[in-house]
Amino acid sequence: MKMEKSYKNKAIRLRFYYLLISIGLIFAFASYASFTETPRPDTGHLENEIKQVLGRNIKCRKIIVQIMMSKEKPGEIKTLAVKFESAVLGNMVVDYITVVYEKPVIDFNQLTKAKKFKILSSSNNKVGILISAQAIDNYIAAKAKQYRNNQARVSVRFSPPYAECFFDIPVSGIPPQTLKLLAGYVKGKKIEGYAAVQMSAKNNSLWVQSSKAIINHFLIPGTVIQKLQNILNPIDRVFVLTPLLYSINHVSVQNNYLFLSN
Amino acid sequence: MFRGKLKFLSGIILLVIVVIAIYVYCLYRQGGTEFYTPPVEKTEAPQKQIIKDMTVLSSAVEAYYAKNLKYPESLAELKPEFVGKIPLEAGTEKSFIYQSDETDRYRITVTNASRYGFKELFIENGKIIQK
Repeated sequence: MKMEKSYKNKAIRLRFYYLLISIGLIFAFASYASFTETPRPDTGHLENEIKQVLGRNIKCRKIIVQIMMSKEKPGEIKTLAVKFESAVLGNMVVDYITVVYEKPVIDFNQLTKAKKFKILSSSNNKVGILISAQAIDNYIAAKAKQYRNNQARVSVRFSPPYAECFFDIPVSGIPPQTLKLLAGYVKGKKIEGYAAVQMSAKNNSLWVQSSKAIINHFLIPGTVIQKLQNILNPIDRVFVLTPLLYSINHVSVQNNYLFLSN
Repeated sequence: MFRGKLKFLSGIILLVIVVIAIYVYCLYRQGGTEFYTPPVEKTEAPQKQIIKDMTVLSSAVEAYYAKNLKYPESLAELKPEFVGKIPLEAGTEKSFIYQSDETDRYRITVTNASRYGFKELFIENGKIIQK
């Protein structure tokens, strides 16, 4: 009878321990699972990880990633800012590109496993691209070289709100349609002159409006300028860096930079 | 009769040639390197000018952020990299009021919005508010 009772107690005790261990294991597993699903963003580590992933895809001199956490909601990212210095944007090396996401939701799985930077959603984002006159000069020179037009000389100067353009281009490097319009102003084998332009952008396309143009010592009349603009616009497209995806819709000419923003 | 008509016609042709020559001469005269200058910006009415100036300043503040990842402490920091000179309020020549927490918010306000026909006039984080 006594033995039977002690066996019964032992069995109850065992069951109790088993239950405790099971609860402990379930709790530990659950907390691990919840941790892996939504990791607590350690900003320093996350900044480095984003920096490394972006560095693989985007050619630039330096990347700075800055994460600001929300004070009201712990664990929520308030802003994520990424700045690239001397970044290669298509055929142009621009001085700075900065993209800021507000309340971004980062795809952590893609970031850690596939080493890809992807923003699932954000409440707002803004992009700013700063391009110096030197960067534009280099870009135009490279393009001229690409079209085997090595004698073309173009330089840009910023006089807000205008961008001033000084040019000396061989006639052979000018498209026939443009040359036809300027036929009356072409003397010899080159066109040399000046243009003051204002710029605008829409969906990454860049447009120019010239207020003044001088070619081979002749001030070009407004009607000819208008026809030229119709042929040349949009003059270029802003290259979009794949993981960042932005649309440039504003351009402002500043003292040292051309500032493109969304 | 015929001679008279011929004289009149040749007179007209001569006049047209002279006008064209003057026009071409004017275009030629204005094409020297001394004219390689941008057009002079017209000063607008204060109500338009103030918005134009605030937009220029806001754009410069945004450009400053794009370079430094923070907003400037004062508008003076925009000089000379982003603006040549800090515009003053059109009509009063007072300085714009600039406030910023440097990290994620800035505001450019006029000292007296009613002067420009508004109850409120400011730019906050790039958005112009005019009521």
